[in-house]
Amino acid sequence: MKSILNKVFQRGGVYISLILLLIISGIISPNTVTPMHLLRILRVASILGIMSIGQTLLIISKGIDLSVGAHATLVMVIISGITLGNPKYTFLVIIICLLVGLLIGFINGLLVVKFNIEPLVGSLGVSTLITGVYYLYTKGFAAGVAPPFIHYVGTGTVFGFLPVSLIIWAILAGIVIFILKRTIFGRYIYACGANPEAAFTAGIKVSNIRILIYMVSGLLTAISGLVLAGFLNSPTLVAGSSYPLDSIAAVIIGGTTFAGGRGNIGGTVAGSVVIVFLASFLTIIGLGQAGKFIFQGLIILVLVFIYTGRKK
Amino acid sequence: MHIKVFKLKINFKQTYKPVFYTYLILSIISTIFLVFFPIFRSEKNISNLLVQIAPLAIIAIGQAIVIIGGGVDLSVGAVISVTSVIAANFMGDSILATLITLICIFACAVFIGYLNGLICNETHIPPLIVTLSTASIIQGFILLYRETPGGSIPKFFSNFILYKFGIISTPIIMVIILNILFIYIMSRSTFGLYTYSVGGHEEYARMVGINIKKVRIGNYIISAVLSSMAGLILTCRIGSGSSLLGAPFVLDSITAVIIGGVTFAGGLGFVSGALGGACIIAMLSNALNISGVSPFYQYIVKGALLIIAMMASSKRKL
Repeated sequence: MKSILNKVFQRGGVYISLILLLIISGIISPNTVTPMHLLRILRVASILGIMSIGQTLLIISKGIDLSVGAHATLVMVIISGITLGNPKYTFLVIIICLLVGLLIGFINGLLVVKFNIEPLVGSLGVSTLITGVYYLYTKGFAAGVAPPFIHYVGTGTVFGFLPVSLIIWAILAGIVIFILKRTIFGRYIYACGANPEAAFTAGIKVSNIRILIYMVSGLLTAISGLVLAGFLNSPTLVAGSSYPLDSIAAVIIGGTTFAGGRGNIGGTVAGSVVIVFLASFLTIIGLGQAGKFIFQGLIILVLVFIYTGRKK
Repeated sequence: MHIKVFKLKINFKQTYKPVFYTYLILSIISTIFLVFFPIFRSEKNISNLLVQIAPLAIIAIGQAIVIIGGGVDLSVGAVISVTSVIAANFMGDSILATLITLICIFACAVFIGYLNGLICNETHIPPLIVTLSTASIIQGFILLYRETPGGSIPKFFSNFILYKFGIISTPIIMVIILNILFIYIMSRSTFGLYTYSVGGHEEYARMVGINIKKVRIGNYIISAVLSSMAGLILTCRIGSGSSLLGAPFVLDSITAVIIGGVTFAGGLGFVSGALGGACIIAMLSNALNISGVSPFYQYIVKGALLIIAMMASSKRKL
């Protein structure tokens, strides 16, 4: 009975939490559940959401990436600092940013796979390195403006109300869900996480797959950095600080565990919404930054405990 | 040279090597700095440097013990913040108030360590996530209480903590005493041996009858208490309570421990290495600061250090 309950929670717990959150928030402050506000939340959540898709893939395959915050900030600095609002070379710089994303993903993957560095510590080191790079580049002062196309991506709407970033998020999530569920590559991802030795014996090139997953995650993080740049329009160097923990929290809340080998993107999507909505709700009721820290920590601990149960 | 205890072999000759390399690198770096940077070898800078090493060295002891035991403690920053805010706001001016505050700080640290260990013991949550979450919760509470830096440390206490004679100062004495104490504990006592066992191979340790839960809680309590001591030193240095004081120390302490030859998976490494690692990091920071290099290079140096140290240490597994 207990294990069935655990399974239900792991699959659907996040959706229950989200609905509960919306209900509680709606009772305390009805303004927060209006469609306009929710769409605004979804726009902000898409940044975290796109990043967290990559994080989900990583955690499924027994990796982790704590450099997402610095990474997104770097991309934001690149696109805003190089184009300076000038629409001329926008697409070229976007390609550069995406290539940087692939590169950082490749470096992270290489460190974990070929040099056998613990993913946690390796990505922390890369995060510090990236932080140094963009601090040096900006000399401490973030300057620049996002080009108009990126600004549209970050803040624009389609049909008058649907945020563009939400659509991008939905498309990317859809693609990744399809890859995970319907393609061989998706099965390989699960296999590398569930039992790397067995996968290797079965002929799957585990190292290559893991590096590839890191590169995909890097690409997704770069995209989220572009959306962030458009949303903020003018970069700030501290914008990325909460993203590492937030993205991990979103993945965990969504039901993916660190044991690897199982996980679902849908849960992560809902998890991202929970995190962002919770943060905004806490700000509205006055708890702000402090409350966010407290609840985030609590949610992670409580939910992972519910999902994975006690140690015997 | 092997030691057979409880059918677990500990190969000391092999595992001392990284500590040796750490101190070799430390000697090379310090010689280079002392010879080529006249500013570096001024008495003022040396005594500053020693005071700067102290907090990181103390935290690194605790972090080393936790990592050797198979975990990791990312809540050291939060413990420092708690210590800082409580100390600066409650010490008042009398010796009695100061003493009571110190006892409270100590109790808080023990509680936080106990909490970390307890959650690690009772759930399947990886220590990384546990300590990250407890750090977040603690930091949240501190921010609720006092968002901006404030409060003050009574003069006599801060004078005691920062007392200097020549280049030696109280923090350095603390570092030396604590290092001797914990090097002894980790190498000669049962608790130390158990920590190595739990970190090296938890299942075997359990089969052999070691009380893993107690060992783990002990590790985290030690780390938290040491972090709060470092927090006291730092608070006295800046003179008021800051809730953001501990932030850089989390990553730095892990880097120091890895440089010092402790493998992240646990079971291998020595506390003495962590001291060397802390010295290297503090020395590099100090040198970068006084030579006028842009402070942002420190990020690059520290990030690269961590990665290089991890690459070197990943070759050794139990």
